[in-house]
Amino acid sequence: MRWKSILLYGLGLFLLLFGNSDLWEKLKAENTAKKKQLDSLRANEDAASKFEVQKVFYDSISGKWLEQPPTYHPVHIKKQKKVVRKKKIENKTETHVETNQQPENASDTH
Amino acid sequence: MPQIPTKYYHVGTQELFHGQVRIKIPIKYRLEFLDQCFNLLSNIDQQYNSYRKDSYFERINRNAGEYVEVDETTIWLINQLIAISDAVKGIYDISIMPLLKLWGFYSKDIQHVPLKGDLKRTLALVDYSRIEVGVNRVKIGEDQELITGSFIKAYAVDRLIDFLRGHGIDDAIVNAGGSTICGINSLDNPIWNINIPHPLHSDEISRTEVIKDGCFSLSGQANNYIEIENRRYSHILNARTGMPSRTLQVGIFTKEAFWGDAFSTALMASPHEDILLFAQNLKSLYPFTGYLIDESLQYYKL
Repeated sequence: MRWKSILLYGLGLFLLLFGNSDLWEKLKAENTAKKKQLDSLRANEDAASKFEVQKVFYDSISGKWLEQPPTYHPVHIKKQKKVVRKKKIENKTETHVETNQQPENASDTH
Repeated sequence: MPQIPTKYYHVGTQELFHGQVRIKIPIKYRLEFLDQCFNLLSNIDQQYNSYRKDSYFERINRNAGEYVEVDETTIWLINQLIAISDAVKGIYDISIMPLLKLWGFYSKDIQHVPLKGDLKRTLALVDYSRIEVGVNRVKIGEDQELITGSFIKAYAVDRLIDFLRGHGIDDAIVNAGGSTICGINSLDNPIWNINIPHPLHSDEISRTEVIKDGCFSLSGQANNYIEIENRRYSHILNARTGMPSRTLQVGIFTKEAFWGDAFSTALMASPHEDILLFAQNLKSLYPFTGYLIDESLQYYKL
């Protein structure tokens, strides 16, 4: 009786391991794919952490690349002119940049 | 109202004609071009401004009583100015300098309003009909003196506008001292806006006007006046009575600034009862539109 039980147990184990060999192969392939995916994710994470991405903006007025986009603020237009850039071309001539949105101030001064 | 796209411009500023002159040209043009523009204005200033040593008008004044050889431009300017004086019955007169000196607009110690006798004697010197104009020479009376202040800056701005157009610039504005403003307009910048100051408080903007391929001339007394015994007197004088204008502000729109500047001064000097007639006479010389604000702040279209 004891030998019969041992025989049946051994037969069951044999059938479980070798009776459906595809299942075993499937489990092995699934494991390998998961491992590859995990490795790939880790590699991407490692690669990405080495670079810092920064957005820059080109300011055509100053001719420079800026970290922040150039901003233009409305100004009080009475006697003031928005001066974006000042430069001298001759001792006598003061120059700067303006837009067509800034009106000219009339005056009876002269 | 369609949105006008934002465009960028170089603006050059220089002290000329006793004030600030601003020239605004599209940013695609070289900055050095602004120097050429200012040189042109400066040359006209040197050649024709009565305050400039050896200018044509300074030589006429220095040699008062004798003929002085001058160029075609001087002859043309004087002939047009005489026609303007005729149109306003001598109330505008380029020989007004002795009267301005009597009132003390060019001195710091003004004590009182001119005495009647002094006024009468000085008024006898102010007479444009005594200016003799030949083909290439001019003579004024021995005791006379011409002043170019009411027109020379505007004439220079007109020549600058011609110069800009000649160089293919179709979008620009020139602001000479605030009282003479001329613009050129392109399809992508069809108008220029102009802030008009309050007639009494120059630091306040009363409204905005628009020019399109044209000029705006302003005469007023918010800045230019003298105060005698707590009373304000305008620097623009009636050349027939010798008395300061009571009008607060005149604005004139023309195609050429020379006419606008001379007309705004002439109408500013005119008594209220004659202004409409004089405006009609001046329109027969050169077309214009404009407005006037009288001493009670009433606004009239011209």
